[in-house]
Amino acid sequence: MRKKENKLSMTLHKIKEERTTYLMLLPNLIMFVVFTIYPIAWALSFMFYEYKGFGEKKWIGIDNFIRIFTRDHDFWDSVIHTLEYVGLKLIYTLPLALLLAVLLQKSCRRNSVAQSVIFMPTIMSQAVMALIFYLIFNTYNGSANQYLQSLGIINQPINWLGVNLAMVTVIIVAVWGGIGNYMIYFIAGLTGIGEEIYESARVDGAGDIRIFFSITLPMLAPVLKMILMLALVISFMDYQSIMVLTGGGPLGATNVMFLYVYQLFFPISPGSRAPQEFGYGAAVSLVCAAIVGIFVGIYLILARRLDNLTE
Amino acid sequence: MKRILKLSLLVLLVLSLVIVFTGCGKKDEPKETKPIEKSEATEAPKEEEPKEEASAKETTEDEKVTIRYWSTNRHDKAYIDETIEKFNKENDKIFIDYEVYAENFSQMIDLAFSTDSAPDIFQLPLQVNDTVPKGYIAPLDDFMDDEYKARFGENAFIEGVNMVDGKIYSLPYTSSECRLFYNQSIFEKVGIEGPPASLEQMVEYAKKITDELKGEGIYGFACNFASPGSSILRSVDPIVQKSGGVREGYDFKAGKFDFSSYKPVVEAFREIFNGGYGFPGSESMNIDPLRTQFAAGKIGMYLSVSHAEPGVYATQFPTEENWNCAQVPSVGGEIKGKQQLWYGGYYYGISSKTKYPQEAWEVFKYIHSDEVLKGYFEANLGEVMIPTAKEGANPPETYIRMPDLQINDNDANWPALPANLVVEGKLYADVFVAAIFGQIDVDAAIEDLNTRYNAAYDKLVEEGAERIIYPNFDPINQDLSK
Repeated sequence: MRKKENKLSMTLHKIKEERTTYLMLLPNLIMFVVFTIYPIAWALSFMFYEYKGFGEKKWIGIDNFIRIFTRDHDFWDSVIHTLEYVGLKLIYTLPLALLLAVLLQKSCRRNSVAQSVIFMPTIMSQAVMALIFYLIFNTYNGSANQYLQSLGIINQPINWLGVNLAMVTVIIVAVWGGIGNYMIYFIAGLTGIGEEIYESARVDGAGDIRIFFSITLPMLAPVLKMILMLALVISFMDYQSIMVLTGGGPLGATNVMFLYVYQLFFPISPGSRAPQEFGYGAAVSLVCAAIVGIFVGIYLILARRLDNLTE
Repeated sequence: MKRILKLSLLVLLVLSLVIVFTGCGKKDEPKETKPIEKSEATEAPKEEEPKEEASAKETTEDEKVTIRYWSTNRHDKAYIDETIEKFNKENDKIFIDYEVYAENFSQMIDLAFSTDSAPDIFQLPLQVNDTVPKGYIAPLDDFMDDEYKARFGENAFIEGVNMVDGKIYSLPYTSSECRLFYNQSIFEKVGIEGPPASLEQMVEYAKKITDELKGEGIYGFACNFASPGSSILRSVDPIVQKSGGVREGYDFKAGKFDFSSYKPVVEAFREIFNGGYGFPGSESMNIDPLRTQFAAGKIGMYLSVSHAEPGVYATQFPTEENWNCAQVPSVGGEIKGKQQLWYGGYYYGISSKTKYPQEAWEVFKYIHSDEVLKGYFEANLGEVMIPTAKEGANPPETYIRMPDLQINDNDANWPALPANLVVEGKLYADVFVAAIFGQIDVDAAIEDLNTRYNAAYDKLVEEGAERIIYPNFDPINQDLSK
């Protein structure tokens, strides 16, 4: 009992000493609770109910989860589309961003202008961006097909937003939109590598490619780990530009997890009389969060094991 | 110094907390208002008699009450903008803030109500008996007297169309019917004399046009499949109904869902689109991009709605193309059923959350006034359903040139469908679009839809909904006797 009292008084004393720090954290904590924790808790409170967004909520226990795992093939299709999207987006975005970072890292006016131009899509509205690309990739008279046909590369217009190529188009837009952001992260990481390391490598006769693989990449590893994790989480949660560009179509070809959740809360197909399903949507969103958590967890375990191997 | 710095930081923190909590604070509760006294006026707004109680918000002479009014119509925007501007100039108490949301309108309405930012008046995205349970719209009975109701004609107020449980929630405004729109010049170019009289002819003409004119970038048929619900409702559904089939899968005679009557129609569309005769990119095309291509003379024919297209090709996408309108074809050319009106009997609603019900009603009356709708009809923006508004009006030029634009005996309001049905999995429109593009077998699609829709409806009935069944019903006579 006396030990507990001592521990408590020590804690209180510590809080008193660092009260300014805690007070500075308080607004952020309040905002986090009010605008993040509370809405999540509110949404998840529906997951054991059948609720259409109005009227009474009906308790149904774990029926929503049974439906997800036994009857909802559309949801699992959306999970597969999400994995396809995440995989392809990361494969193209990160190496390109790294290459651009290496090429543009030196501080000069030309590089600053190039960095600004490449970074611009990051600060543009995703919805506006997607709308513009819809016009560019329009099958019949979009500018992409017009240019390709005028250059003689194709004879017939490419159905960019058709079932077979819609995901490719979505990836192109995603890579264009994300490359600038990751380039900046990589540049920040590269500036942490001392110039003297490169100089001594050059003195030893190492070429640019050897320097890149033997010095730059290994030294960038901690930053790369963080960027990869961020990119993974962000890509899993992407849906805004897909919603505007294809609406998850055509025929569900680009319907990703969080767009599927969105459509359960706010059905977007006009004239289809699809009712809102808050309860089921809440359950699906929890499963989606768990799926993202699993993949991030797997990544962190692999990354740690790789660290242990290389140490 | 350190102490002063710490103190200043503390003061700043407290101030920021105060600002945050003030910003998130509750708004004042609106005052209660009495419903407006029954009014006779249907023309432009006049000075109101002094009211016994104040409106929800006190307005000074300098302040106007803003009534937010949302619509999804683009074809009549220019005309409505003019009428709104006139109202705003002449009315010193109310300002109408008119906005048009082209896509995802139903979603916009749901979002607006979820975030407590709903407009005061809005176009109803769903039928009335789907919207009323959501609590979005207010009954209008207390605003109207018998004289006002009489201007809408006999049998204007129908349970399930604009009434729920005996209360009126919306008023007849304009109606719209699905029609076939075709390019006469393209037809003449390939030697087709007139519009198709049957579904089979429609497929044949679509193939002929594409085969002969594909090299010029002209295709026989198009559809806006990017929105499956919208496209199927304006194309496949009216053909099914006219051919003696059901409305959106529901068999009113048997009291259950049966999608089998969709088979010949879906197979015909599959022949066009999966066979490569449809406009390229139809699966990802919305209605407005489709209309631009029709206006550019690249599409032979498509199915759409009579209220929108004339205005679209006059103001939204003006065209020099020689286009015309015809009745929707049916299987074998035989008419065995009436087509459901796209809109008919309901249109706008007043939000149940409006803080200014009296002012909203004033605007609602103005929207439905003879003055506004007479001009609307003459400008060929829609088939007006209010008889007093059409009295003495000059029929638009397009009605004379294209008599099929008008409502006829083959257009009718079918009975109301089961409301708030929660169907697991894809809805019928999405399934049929997939079948049209060859992704799934038509028979398998129909069997799957019957199973899932009936399971959902049986569950609704078990929970207390009354099964809708009219034993003597048939699509042509629409007999609702029990």
